[in-house]
Amino acid sequence: MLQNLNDLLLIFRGEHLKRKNLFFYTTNILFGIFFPFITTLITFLNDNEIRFQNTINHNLFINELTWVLQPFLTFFLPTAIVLQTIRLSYIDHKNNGWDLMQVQGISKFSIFFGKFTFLLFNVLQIIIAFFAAYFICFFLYKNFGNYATNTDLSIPFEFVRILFFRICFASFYFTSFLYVLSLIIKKPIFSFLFGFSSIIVEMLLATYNKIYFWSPNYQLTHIDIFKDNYESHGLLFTENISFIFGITILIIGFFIYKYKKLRIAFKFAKKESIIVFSVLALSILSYSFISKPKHFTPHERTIISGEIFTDMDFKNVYLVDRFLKDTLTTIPVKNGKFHSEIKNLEHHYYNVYLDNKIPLNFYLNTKDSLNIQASIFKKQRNIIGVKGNGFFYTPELRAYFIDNIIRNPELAKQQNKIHKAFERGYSNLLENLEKDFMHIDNFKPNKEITERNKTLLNLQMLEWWNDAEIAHQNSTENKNLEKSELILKIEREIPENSMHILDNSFYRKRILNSYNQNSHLDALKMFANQKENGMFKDFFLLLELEEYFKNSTDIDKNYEILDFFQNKIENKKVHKKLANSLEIQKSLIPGSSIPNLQFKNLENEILDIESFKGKYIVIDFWASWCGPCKVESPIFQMKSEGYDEEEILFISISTDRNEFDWRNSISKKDEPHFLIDPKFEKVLSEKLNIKTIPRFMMLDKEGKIIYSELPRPSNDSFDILIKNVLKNDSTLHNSNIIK
Amino acid sequence: MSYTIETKNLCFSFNSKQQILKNISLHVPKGSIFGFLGQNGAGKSTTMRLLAGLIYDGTDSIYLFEKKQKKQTPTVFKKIGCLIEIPILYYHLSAYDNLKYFAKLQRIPKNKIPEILEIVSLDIKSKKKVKNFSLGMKQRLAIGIALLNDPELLLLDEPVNGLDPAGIIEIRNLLIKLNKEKGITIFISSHMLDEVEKMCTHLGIIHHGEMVFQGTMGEFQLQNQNIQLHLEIENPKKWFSILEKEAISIYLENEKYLQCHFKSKTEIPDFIEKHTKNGMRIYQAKIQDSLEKNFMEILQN
Repeated sequence: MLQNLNDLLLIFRGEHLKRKNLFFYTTNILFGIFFPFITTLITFLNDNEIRFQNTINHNLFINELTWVLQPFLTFFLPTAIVLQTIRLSYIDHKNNGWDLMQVQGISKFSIFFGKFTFLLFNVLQIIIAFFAAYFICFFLYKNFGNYATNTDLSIPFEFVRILFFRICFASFYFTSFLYVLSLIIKKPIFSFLFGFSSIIVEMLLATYNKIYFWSPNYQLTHIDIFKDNYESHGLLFTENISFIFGITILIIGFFIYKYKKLRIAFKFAKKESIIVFSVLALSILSYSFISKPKHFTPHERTIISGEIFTDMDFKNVYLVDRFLKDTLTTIPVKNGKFHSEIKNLEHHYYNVYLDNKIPLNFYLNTKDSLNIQASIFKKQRNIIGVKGNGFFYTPELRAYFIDNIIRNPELAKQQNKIHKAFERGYSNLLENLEKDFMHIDNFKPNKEITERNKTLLNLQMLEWWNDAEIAHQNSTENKNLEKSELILKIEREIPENSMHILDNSFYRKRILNSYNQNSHLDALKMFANQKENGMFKDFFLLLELEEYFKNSTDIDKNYEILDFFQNKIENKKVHKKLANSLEIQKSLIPGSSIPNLQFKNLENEILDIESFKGKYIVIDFWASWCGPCKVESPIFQMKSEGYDEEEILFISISTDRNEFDWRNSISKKDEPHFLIDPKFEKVLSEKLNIKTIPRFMMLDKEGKIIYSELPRPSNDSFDILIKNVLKNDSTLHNSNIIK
Repeated sequence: MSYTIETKNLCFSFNSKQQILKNISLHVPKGSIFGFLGQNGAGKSTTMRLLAGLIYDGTDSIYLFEKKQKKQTPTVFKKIGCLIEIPILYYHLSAYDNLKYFAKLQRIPKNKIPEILEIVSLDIKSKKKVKNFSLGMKQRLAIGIALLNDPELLLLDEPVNGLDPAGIIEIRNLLIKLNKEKGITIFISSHMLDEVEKMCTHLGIIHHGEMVFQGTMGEFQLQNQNIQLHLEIENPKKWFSILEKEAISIYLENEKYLQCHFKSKTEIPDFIEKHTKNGMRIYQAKIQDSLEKNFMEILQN
């Protein structure tokens, strides 16, 4: 064995001698450095515009690398490997060097593996050249480039190390495959075409979202190290696959090389044939084991931790009961980082909110742990990674296929086409779900989550089916759309009492529809009477009634309704919550007074609601980071010009925490702008029920509520409602109305 | 008698339709120069490749240095130098670099290379790339590579193919010298009969995959008695008619020369003495190359 290894080294050094005049090493380096240098050159020539203002990652090194890495992995690296492998084999095919090396007294083992080692050496050069070039470009960019001020300029070495190893493993697999191929197919043009088309085919298949780990090209192009913030404690499953398959291919290739004809091999080397075939069988078996998805084991405690990269001021992360919405734990955020361990969490359903202003939320069950990496900037927000053994988030479901059918009357009248479109779309979306929730180390979310996602998909399909039914009726003069097998199956599969999707309003609507009542309230009453008592019923009613009360302004009727449902609800907290929401509603009925909010103006003078007594006030609650506010505020100002300042004031109160942001968002300094005192933040949400902005409110001359929630200024009724109030006030001059 | 190469009923076929080699039993004595003759397609190259281990033969028919070939590969190649079919060289490298590569594989020190280059007369052209070499130069380089490791056995497949007469003589002299001075056993396959005759000590003839003759050169010549004497004399026509009557196998060539056939060489002196006494005036008496005729005769049997 030692002799073989010595000879292997000999062959390796021989290969090094043989490559003279062929520019082997030069080719490696060129392929490695080409793309980083070119992109840097282009960036500098284009005057260095800030490319990554609102990026997924705030680290400059990783940003630039993401840009440069994919073309390298998809095209340059595999092409270089194909080229070098075939050139290397061909030198010896052409000159019959394989025979020649043998008659030098060197074993076939050493020849085969010596040459392969040399080939790996070349591939390593390509990868190292790439990284070296990238480091140089990074330094250039760091020192001479333009980028946002709060960018992190550190080099994440651990990340680079993991990336490097992943690329090496995937390349090893690809190289061994090509090496054996080029040995068997003696004509270089055919091996080259085969290798090159595998690269092109991979590029084309990338759009189809299929998952096939066994392909070396797939592994190269899916080094998704950015997707999950994975801390590797060993090899990933893809690396295991690369290693096993790479070695297997080498062993089989060596066997074929040694005996050339399998018939001879079987006749004369029975023992070896058996070994080789068992190796092959073993590797296929291992593949089926490794590719089976793993599940996280639940922890004993619930751990919520993470990091937020942001240009805004984040104070807290909240653990909130999913239905009651009461905050169980407030986790402070320091320097963007947060960590909390919660013991003995009740078995229940929870959400985690990243600050109650940003509606990014995660569903959590007890014994789940969650690690979140998020990037939240004013202009863009993104979750970089979520790690946990039971994290949920709602998948996005889009179906262009269905839109196309429904919006085209020619297609909508063809029942068969509709059925087919739904089938295709459904399988497509199911596959996408697979891919979306694919973890970098083949972990799959646990059963609860996959079922939840599938049920959400099913619900969405039924919603779309309703649309299709209507479209079909309209395009065929009221013919009914027959339900396809798929739809019937989906309908059967919708669970009856699922807590996981209880927060989906369409689900609740379906349940209520099944009672066949004329009004929503009647259906709800029937549900309350017929459904068995329990958590499902309690929270169902909670959600429905909350919604109902929000839209119904008749306070007395609301209290009646609440009485009816109270003894159908077991959970005392639910009772309390519903009662509470009516209380708030009551407190906001016209005529009630509001807490005396304090705020300051642009000159830093502190004022309060009482300072405006004597005039009507219309308030615009807004913030600089709120998109719809930016639309409504100019309209608000414009409308305000149509009224007499002596009688009625239109003021804008911002809920921004960052004063500088507030000041920067104000274009006209002569308008009445105020910044709320941070002490009153809670009052706004709890007492005034301001859960979303923009919010418009009208107060009378004593500061009492007239309208606790005005429609938006862009709505015609905004003016109508205000004018009504002024009309009915006889103390005002008529000139107001005329204007 | 120790045999460097010995095969015992070696049979081989690439597929079931055609048997390439049928019961080949070679005995190549140590220190001999063994000529392996045969027509194109007779199986010479296949035999060479089997001996060199380039084609896998699962049977135990081949013995090198009196041990089974299977057990000795690949280390036995440190004692063997090969030149199989077209010269195997790396065209993009120079002669020197080619030798350097093979020296590396054989663990031979670099200072041997100039010596080899001198032996094969390529010392001047050593830095030139092989793709620019003539066929003869390539042949010489290939022989040089085979000689690198001071082998005990040389397997040469048509080594003088493509060389000019001067080159042929050089190689022939080199091989004879190596054989005499270092005792290297040389196994040559060739078409060039007179080269084989001039160089080889032993001969083996293969025809359609079967050995039709194997033995020393002397045995071969003895076996086929046809010795042809070429006589250039005064008045050939007169003597032709006389000799014809004496029932000696004789004929007239180009009306100028006489070709006489004898059963063995020993008959010649008596013949000349007898006829010179009778007044035959001889300008030239030469023994014709009979190997070719012998060879063709054997093949036709």
